[in-house]
Amino acid sequence: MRIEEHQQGAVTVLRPRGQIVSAGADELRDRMLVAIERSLGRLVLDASDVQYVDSAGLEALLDVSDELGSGGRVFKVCGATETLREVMDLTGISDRFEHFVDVSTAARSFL
Amino acid sequence: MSTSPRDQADVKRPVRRVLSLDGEGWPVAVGLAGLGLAGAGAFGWFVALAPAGGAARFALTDEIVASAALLGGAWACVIAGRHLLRPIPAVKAIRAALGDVGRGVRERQALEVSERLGPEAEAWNALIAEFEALAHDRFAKRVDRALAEARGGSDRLRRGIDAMHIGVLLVDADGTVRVANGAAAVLLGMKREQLESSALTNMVEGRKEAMELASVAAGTGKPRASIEVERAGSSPAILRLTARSIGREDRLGAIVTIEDMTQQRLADRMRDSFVAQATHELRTPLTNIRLYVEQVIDEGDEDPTARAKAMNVINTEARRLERIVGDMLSVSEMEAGSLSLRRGDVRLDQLFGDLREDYQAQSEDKGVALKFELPPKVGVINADRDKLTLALHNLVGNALKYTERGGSVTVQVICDEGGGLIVEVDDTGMGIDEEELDKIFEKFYRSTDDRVKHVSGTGLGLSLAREVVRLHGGDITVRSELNKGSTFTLTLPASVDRASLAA
Repeated sequence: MRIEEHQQGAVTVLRPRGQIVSAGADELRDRMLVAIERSLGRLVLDASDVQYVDSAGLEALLDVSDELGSGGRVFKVCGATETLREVMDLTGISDRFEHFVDVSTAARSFL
Repeated sequence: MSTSPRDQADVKRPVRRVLSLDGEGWPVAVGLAGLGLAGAGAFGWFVALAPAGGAARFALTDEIVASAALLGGAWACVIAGRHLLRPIPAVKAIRAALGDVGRGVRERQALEVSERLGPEAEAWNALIAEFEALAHDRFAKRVDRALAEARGGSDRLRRGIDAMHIGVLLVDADGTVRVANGAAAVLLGMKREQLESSALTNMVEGRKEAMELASVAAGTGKPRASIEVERAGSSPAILRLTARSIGREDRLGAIVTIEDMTQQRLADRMRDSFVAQATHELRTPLTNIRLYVEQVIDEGDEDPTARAKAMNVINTEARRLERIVGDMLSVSEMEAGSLSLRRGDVRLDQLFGDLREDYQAQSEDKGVALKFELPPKVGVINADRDKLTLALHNLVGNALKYTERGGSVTVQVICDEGGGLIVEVDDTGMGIDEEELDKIFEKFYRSTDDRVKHVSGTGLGLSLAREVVRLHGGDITVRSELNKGSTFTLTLPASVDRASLAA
């Protein structure tokens, strides 16, 4: 898994490519936590290139959601693929995230 | 303490008989014996006084015995009766205590009677103790309930403000933070425990601004103050802190809200620069048009050549204006998500012919060589002609804009076998820094390169060009080297277009 990072205005966008599984999930969690600290919670996860998420991946996403929640924020995810949406729906955690069609819509929600 | 009848019913009264044959039965026994004796005496007298009818003679001794029995029996009855009717000391004491209760006395010590007065006294004391314990229990329960309610309320309040993404601080009159929510901790970059009980003035850089907030809490300033501070360091941000007084006369303080304004301020700045740039972009062609129109009016029909040239310039500038306005409209469509394609057959030779015509004069004026390399046979593609023109105009216009006199711009058109189209716009201009390569496609982004500041532009062209090409199923990519030049590549897949057209 490769993680691309860019700034959309003051919003940090992380775009993992490939599968979020085991060790990669830890890396993604760490990167997201750093980004949250640096951008004061203005984080968007661009999931348009995520093919698959396993339990470790979901756990990482939930950890990040908790961290954002402690600051009163909601985890914003954009471009979630059919597979990812299905996994989130089946595990009943979909509602823990705010879903957007694309990065610019998600970034604009910080205004 | 008040007691309700229901509560009294809960009290189990100890059942004690005042009299029982085993302990206190002797007066009854004596009484019964006395009654028996008196009965026997009375019977003796009855027999003696019965009318003599041949009955046996009654001796004097019999009369004496009967009288003695009668008297003895009566005396025993009187003794026993007196003893039975005598009030028990414990009952006396209890009656006195009940009198006290009637007068409102409730203290246990005052109502207790001496245990030495017997089992009744013990029972009474037990009753009093039980009553007191019960009253204690009910009081404790009430206190517990009140405490839980108070605690539950503040818990709920805390959870409530923790769910906010706006930071909240409750500040005392002396400027000490008493309550802070999670968002406040995140925005101020401090631990919550660290925040609570530290001074408000320590959190804001700049003494004057901090004092303004503190004066709201102390009740010495305005009832509301708002400041905007810029946070430096590893997490730069623009925060707006607003203090509102929550004080009454006796207890002052303030609630301070902290909002993250970074994204808003950035958007404001971009919008301002866009308005400035767009105004500039619109004014240049307008000025040119006005100048040449004035010239034509002044000179009239005197110089047909000059007039034709002026008309030409007016035409070019009017088209430029049209393009700029078209770009802006497309961007707003893109923002609204309503940017759509009107596909049709586009003849490539015509498309690039027009493009060359539009830029020929500009490139000659600037002294930049503009070359078009088209394959010998160019076909027809299915696309939105206006949108594609817009994208190509942006690429070629940019290339000319950022290339100095003496440089060159080459537009190479490749039609691949599948019917797709590749257009490479290559320049020998100033190039783009590697770090900025990603950003140039962002809306309103303009390079931080000093040389770019002197070139006008809205920062919309490339994001728009990429958007319309992506709508066609293609993409625009870039490779560049600073000070050497840039190459923008536009690819349009033909087969995908046919498929989406059919669908």
